[in-house]
Amino acid sequence: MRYLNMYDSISCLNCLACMSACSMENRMRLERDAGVSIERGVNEYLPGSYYLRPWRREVGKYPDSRFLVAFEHCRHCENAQCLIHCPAGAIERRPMGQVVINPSACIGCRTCRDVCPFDIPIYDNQTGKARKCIGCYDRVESGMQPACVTACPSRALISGPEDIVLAEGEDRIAIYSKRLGRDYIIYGKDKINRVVGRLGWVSIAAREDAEYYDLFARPAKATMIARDGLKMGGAVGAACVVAGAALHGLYLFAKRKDQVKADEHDTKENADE
Amino acid sequence: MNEHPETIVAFTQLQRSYHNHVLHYMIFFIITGLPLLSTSFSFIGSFFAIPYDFLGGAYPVLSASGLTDNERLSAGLQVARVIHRITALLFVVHTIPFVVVQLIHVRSWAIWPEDSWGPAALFRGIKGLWVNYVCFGHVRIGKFNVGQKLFAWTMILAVTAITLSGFVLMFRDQFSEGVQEFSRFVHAASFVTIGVFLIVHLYLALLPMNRPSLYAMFRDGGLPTDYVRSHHALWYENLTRKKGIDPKPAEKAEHSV
Repeated sequence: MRYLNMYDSISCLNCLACMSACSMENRMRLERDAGVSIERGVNEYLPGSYYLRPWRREVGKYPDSRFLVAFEHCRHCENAQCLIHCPAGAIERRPMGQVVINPSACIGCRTCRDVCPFDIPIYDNQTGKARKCIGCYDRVESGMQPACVTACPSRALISGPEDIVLAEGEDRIAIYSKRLGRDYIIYGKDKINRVVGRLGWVSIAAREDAEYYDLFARPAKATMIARDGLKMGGAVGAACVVAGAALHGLYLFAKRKDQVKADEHDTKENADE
Repeated sequence: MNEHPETIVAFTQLQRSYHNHVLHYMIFFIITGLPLLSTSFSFIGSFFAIPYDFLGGAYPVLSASGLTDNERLSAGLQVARVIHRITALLFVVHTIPFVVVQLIHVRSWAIWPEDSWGPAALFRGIKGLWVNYVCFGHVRIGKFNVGQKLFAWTMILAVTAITLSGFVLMFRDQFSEGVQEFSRFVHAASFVTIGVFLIVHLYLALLPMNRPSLYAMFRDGGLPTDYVRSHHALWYENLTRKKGIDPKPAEKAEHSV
């Protein structure tokens, strides 16, 4: 069963309770996983504990402009490029679909950041490791909801089995389209492109605002695609060169054999004379 | 050079020393860089975990240790990264004096075109390569044929690119994310170029017909004068003209290109 999170930009109050709950949950995890006392965990700034990062953006031109808040967070892609490219195998997909960095295996090479089309993983200079949203897989696998979803007062964040979440999303965009007269999408419900596929964290937004919410029509990193092509090209090139060298070696060997035969023939003729 | 010496110096001591050291650096660069370039080479990364385990002393070597497979790979990659960076430092330290000395003698580099530039000269050179490696004949060339010159220029450009991009990646926090990502691509592109060209270089260097040059590089740097006269006629004529010595009659090249 695929587990989905859904963010609804229309129902969102921008209260940032989700962000606070996310950070609080991660501070609790510090006590559980790293033995950091709860007093220290809650009193220190700990920027690394925030997996949801809001970006307030002004759209349009003043005085007709409006503000919206885009959330930067891991989208737990179907074809997670971070997972595919991580050289240390430090990123894994949990049984319910969350893409998770294993801190004990992360080597801090920042490949995940370099290949993520949404620029999500953050390199932590203090720990020398990358971090990003883990989809509260520990809570979900224990039958709870992610911390951000639990905290949301307006049900702008919901989560659950894929079919239930998407059905709720379809209902919502039908209502929004009817009442607000705009075209709404569930970003990530269907395959977006070859690079990311479908998403494990989908978003509802007006189609014309999608880019402002970082819901890119073609999420991809040119350098990542070029590097992948290069690796393939390098492998093919090396194979061609080795094959060419082998063929030339055989040709050289055959020619040398002919030469030896010709020399032997000449020697024999000279001896006969 | 004596009037008709037994050997002609093809590679100076500095060139031979640098070449031999670069050979070692390349081995370290390749085995430590491949597991970071592609997950297809993760097995090399895991191999580096063996000294990590051994030096750590906490786990028995080559056995089911306390590390999971991912942690073993991770530990190995950390070791590989450290070796990669130390090798890079040594390579740069070694390369700077070599480059300075080579730049002082830039006018005498043998990797410039012999007489003319342009596509026609390049085509003639490629035809010469065909004569040399397919017909096994000799053409009138200088110290290096066109393939060796192209190889040298490609290596100069690729090594410069891989060094500069490696510098960015080593101190990546000082650069913007765009520069970091671009550098990573340049680093990979340069490596792939160098890797493919190295295979060609190794194969051609080991061919029987190129054995005197191989010996020259790995022994005293000298090529037999007769070999130079027959295989590198233009170079031989240049050397003799510069020294004001009448060259021995050059053996006629089998093919004139």
